[in-house]
Amino acid sequence: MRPSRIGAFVGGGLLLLGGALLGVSAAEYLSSPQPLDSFSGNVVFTVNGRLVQYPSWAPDAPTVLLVGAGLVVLAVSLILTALAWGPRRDRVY
Amino acid sequence: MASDQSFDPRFDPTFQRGFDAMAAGSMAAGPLEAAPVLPIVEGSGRVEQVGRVPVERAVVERAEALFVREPGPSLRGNPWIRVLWMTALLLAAAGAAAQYFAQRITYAPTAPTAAIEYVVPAMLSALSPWLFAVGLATGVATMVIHALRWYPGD
Repeated sequence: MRPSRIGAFVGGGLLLLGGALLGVSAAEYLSSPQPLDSFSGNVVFTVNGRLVQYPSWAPDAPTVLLVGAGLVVLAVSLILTALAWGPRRDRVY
Repeated sequence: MASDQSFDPRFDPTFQRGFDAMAAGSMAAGPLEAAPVLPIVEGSGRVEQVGRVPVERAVVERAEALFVREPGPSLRGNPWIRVLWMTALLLAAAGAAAQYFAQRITYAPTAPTAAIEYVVPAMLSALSPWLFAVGLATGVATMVIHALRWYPGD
């Protein structure tokens, strides 16, 4: 298998894995609102007729790193593909 | 005895080390004038003779192989270069837009849902540096490819 294709698979896999982990983390966060204890500071939302609040949220650094690494590997595989491309008769891989 | 080709072609072999006068009887006996020094390879033309000594074709070809750069594969008609430029532009623009919208949502006066208030800006803020950096790096790499594969005929 060509290196550029391997890079595309690895990059796509990292991107999908990172995206899935981000989605799971966000879904867990959104499904666990906290009961309203005061009106100071937090934004108040209504969920099923109840007033709730959410603490602030940030994605995990390793998860974001997975997505970023996937982007980098995909870009590198694209560059390799462009470098390896040649006219059909003398294509070099 | 050393062969004639081992002598410095700019000077008369008679006065060089290893010259055998008996064996070289067919050579001109008179003194030679100093031959002008000519380059072995001049542009793409071939030099058949340096001074008074003919140059073997193999020597000339070897010198040309050393000094004349063979053109690599051209980028003309390469569809991936266009893809690279578009990817670079899209990623850089997406990174800038992600940062802009993250700031805009964060400082918006109203928030319809927690996802829009907290999750979307946090994700956009976390991903925008990667998007922007990878887009810029892809653009720079594409420019380097253009520079490396550029030839006067292109």
